[in-house]
Order: sequence, then structure tokens, then C-alpha cells
Amino acid sequence: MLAALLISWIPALTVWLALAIQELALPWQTWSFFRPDLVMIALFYWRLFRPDRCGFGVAFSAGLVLDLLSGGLPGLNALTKIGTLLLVDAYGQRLRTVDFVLLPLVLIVLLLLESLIQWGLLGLLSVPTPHWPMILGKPAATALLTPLVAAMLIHIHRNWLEARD
Amino acid sequence: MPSGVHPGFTQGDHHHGMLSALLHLLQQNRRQITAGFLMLCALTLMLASRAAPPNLSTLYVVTLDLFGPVQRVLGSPLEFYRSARARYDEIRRVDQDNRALKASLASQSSDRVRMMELLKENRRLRTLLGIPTDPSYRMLAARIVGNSSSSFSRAFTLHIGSRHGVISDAAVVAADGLIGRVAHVGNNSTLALSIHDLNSRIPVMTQRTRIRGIASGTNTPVLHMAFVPKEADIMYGDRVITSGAGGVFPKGIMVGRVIEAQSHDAGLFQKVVIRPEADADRVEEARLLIRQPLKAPVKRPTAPAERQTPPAPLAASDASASQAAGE
Repeated sequence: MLAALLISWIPALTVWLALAIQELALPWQTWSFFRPDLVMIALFYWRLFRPDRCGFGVAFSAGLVLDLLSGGLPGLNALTKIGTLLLVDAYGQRLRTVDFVLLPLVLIVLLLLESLIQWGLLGLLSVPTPHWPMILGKPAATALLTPLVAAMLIHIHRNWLEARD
Repeated sequence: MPSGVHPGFTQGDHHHGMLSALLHLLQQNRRQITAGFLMLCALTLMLASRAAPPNLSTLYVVTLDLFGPVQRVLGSPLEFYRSARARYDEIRRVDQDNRALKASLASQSSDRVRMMELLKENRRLRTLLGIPTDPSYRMLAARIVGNSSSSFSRAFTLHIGSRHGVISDAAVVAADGLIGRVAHVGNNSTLALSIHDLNSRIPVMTQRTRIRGIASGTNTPVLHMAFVPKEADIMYGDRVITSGAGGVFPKGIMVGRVIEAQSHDAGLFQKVVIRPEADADRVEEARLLIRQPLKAPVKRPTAPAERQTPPAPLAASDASASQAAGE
């Protein structure tokens, strides 16, 4: 019973784990531009392949916690993450047929879009706008790590989630 | 009954239908509605935090409390790696420093030894150079490269020879005083007879009372001053210098000090024992005094008064001899 409950929470747990790792993986301030958005990878993956296990609530809470942990504007990441998931929902059917190799490129586009939305929102709210490296660094670093993280998620998906569903 | 309502349905049925249709609509667009609601919440939160920062301390506290332990757990390997790396770096740095310091110390140690040697040599040479000599003698610096002493002879080898201008019977002087004379000259090396040698005879005199005698070697650390009259005024500690008699040794070179003077009833002379001032065993460099051939006086037009001034090489020699003797 408990195992079944945990299994159903595996996607959410991986998102939270990604969040925790993301905030710890690069603790150096200098490299904060290139901090990969592991949460986004996890959300993207689960929303694409197991949307029933990864709802907007997970995205909202993860985004909000991300904002709180990183000291950013509360709600900014929550908003953009939900927006990104809506896009994934909208194009999910098509994206699921895309080759796995191309998914990092799709993720880059989504991350760029998210960064631009965040930039725009921050501009609207009169927050000092970030520089281009801050916008491009995260998508680039995330795309580089996507194959590795996606492979781990696939492993979890197949061996833990699908095997016990 | 309101118009437009099917006669088979009551008003309650109509309301129930609308509600179910609404619920059905909500059910169908549940995702979009949830997303919209959450986005609205996020937007509200953003706007509120910008307009008038709400008191989010509780939210922060909860978040940090929730994630603190997780972060600690996840961060522990990283922290371990960091501390291990820092420790490794520190050990490597200490090791490098240690090696560098050891090398530096070894180098400095040898450098120090070399420096001390040079310093001592410098001092010796300075002292050697500082000894004024008779101008009729020219000087050759030589290094003592060998000691040929045995039970019955005391000699030493110098590293220069006839090629460098060494001639026989040249006086060999150390910084402290006379140590011998040249006995045999090779092309590149010279054998000098020590003043301690049994065959060594040096015309000397006491500096204070000008008593003359002959200092002879005894193959022991002391010399005997022979032919000193019984009534001669000789005291313990008197300085003994070369007298210049015979022309082999320049006048005024320090030889030693009187350490014993005994006058016996029998005989004509005193027994005077001299301890040489220079310790031949510890001398490393010496100066050879080569007698220069007398030069013909150069004729030059000078004023009559100047011409009448007598030349004073002897006086200069005496003065230098006195200085050499430490007066």
C-alpha cells in the first residue's frame, strides 16, 4: 500500500530531488549563470510521458520553492513553469513522436522562452533586468545535462514506475 | 412555468442540469482551470510581493525547514568532497612547501658554507694585502696546496712557480708573519721551507731592544733564537722580527714572540725560545716577497731644491717594517 503510494509519487519526488540537487549542484556563486534547470528537465519529461503523475501543482510548488530558495521574486518560477507545462501539454502529442536526440533542442527552446518570459515579467515589475548571459547560460547548461538526467529518468520510469504500475 | 422550459422538466431539474453541465465543463477543462488558477496565484504573489512585500517569513521558514535537512543530506557528499579536496590541496601545498624549503635549506647550507669560506678567505687576503712591505720587494700571492712535513723536515708546497716569477730564497709571509722561504722552484709549483724546519735559519732581532740573533727551526712548534748575548735585554713577550741581515728576508717581518729567555752561568749566550706568530698549519694563502733588481735612477728635470731631497727607500722600508710588526 505504502509502496504503491510512493510509486505514484515517484515523478513528483524526482522533481523535488532535482530541485534539491539543482540548488546544491553548483553552489559557487560565480557559476550561477550556468546553473542547470534540472527541475525543468524533470517536469518536461514527466509531463511529456506521464502527465497523469506530474500535475501543475507539482510545477507550481517546485517553482515557488525554487523562488524561495534562490531568493528570487516569489511566484516567478511557479508561473513560468506552469506556462511551460501548458506548452508541453499543447504540443505533447507531437513531441512524443520526436526522436529523443532532438528533445534537448526542444527543451532549449522552452527554457529560452521561459527565460524571456521571466525577463519580460521582471522588466514589467521594474526589477533590474538580467543580462544576456544570464538568459542563455541556463538553457545551455541544461541542454548539456539533459541526456544524462533524461537517461536517469527513463531508468526510473521503466524500472520503478512502469514495472510496478 | 417559465417559457422555454420543457414541459417535462421542473425548475429544479433545470438548475441541476446547469450545474451538471458546469461541472462537466470544469471536469473537461480541469487541467487548464487548475493551471490558470495556479498561474493567477503566482501572478498575485508576484504582484503582491512587489507592491507591498507580504510577510512571507512563515513560507520561507517552512520551505527552509523542509529543504534544510534534504540539502544537508544531499550536500554531505559534496561537503565531504570539498573538505577532502581542501585537505588534499593543503597537504600537497605543505608537501611542496616542505620540499622547496628543504631544497632551499640545503642550498642555503652549502651557500652558507661557501660564503663563510669566501668570507674567511677574503679576510685573510685583506690582511695579507694590508701588510706593508719593503718597496724593493714585489709581492706574489700564492696558495698553499700541500704540506710536505715529516719528522725531520717542515716544508710546504705553493701553487705557483718560476713561470709566475718565483725565485729561490723568496720570503713566504702569511698574514700574521713569516712562515718560511722558497727552497726549490718548479715551473708551476714551489717548495718552501718552513721556519720550523731544522735547516731554517733566519736573521732576526727583538723589536723592543733591537737585539739581533738567528732564529733556527727545531721541528717543533717553537724556534730558538741563537747568539743572544747573556746581558741582552730580552723579556717574555718581546716581539721578534726579521733583521734584514743577509738580504734574504726583508727587514721588519714579524716572526714571533719570546716565550722563554734563560741565562745560564756557563756559556756566552742566552737561551731564547720564540713562538712563531703565524700558525703554518692553518695558513692557506701566503705572500711571496721577491727581491727586485735595483733600478737605475731615472733622470728627470727637477727643481734644485727637490733634487737635493735624499731618496728614502730605507726609511720607507723601516716604516713599513714597523707597521708590519704592529707598531
